Amino acid sequence: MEREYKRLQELLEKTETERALLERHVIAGENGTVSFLSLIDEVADELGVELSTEALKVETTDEPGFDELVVEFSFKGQESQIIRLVKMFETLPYHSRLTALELIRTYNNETGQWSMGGNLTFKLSIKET
Amino acid sequence: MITKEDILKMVTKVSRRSRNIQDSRLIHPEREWSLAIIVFVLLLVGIFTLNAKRFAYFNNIEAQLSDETSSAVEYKYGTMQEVLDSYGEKTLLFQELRQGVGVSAVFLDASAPPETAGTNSDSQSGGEPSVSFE
Repeated sequence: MEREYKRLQELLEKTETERALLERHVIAGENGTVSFLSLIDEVADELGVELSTEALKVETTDEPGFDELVVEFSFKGQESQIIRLVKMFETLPYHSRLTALELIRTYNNETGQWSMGGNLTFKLSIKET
Repeated sequence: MITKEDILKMVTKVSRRSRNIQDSRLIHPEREWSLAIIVFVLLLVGIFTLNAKRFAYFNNIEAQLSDETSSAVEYKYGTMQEVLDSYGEKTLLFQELRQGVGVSAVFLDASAPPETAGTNSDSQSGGEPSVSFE
């Protein structure tokens, strides 16, 4: 029993760095959610994309200690920047997934340019705090 | 009516009974000492048995820990490393995209305007957009 306890303690100490690294890829509580939304706003601003959060809800999951944050965004902007934004959503370094995407391309004959709008649903794991 | 004969019988009876009272002493050292020894021995045996059982339990505790309990504390280093590598790549890609490095979004028909005049639109949902990245 004592040996098992010591083993666990050693394991905790040994994996501390890795666990801290893993933890950075999961959003934690309300503060994490606010930081995530700020990051998305910041990225959209950088790309010159009009982005708004349409819905935000927390769903419970089977994973103990974790919930799922469901966010719906709508966006509008230049198609190349929209595509870049979507790609960025796919590569966000968080435990997350893109569950729905709707893209609408519009060609303006007067300006001769394509523009793009759409909606996107994103699910993220959030750690209960 | 009580006769003299009856009284005599009663006296005889009482006399016999009083002769049967064995011992009126308050202390019986021999008996009580024996009793104390017996109780002490019983207690000793009881305590010894309990202790022996506890000793046997804790002595074999390692064997009693099931494999399931032992494996529950095993850390999957391989999986952890894979996950960290995967997130490392994602982080790098995200940063590159944010800085606009190596990004070129090409629509297959991006250069060609739609045949119909005015504003035209097409949409798709629930999957990958029809774009390619280089």
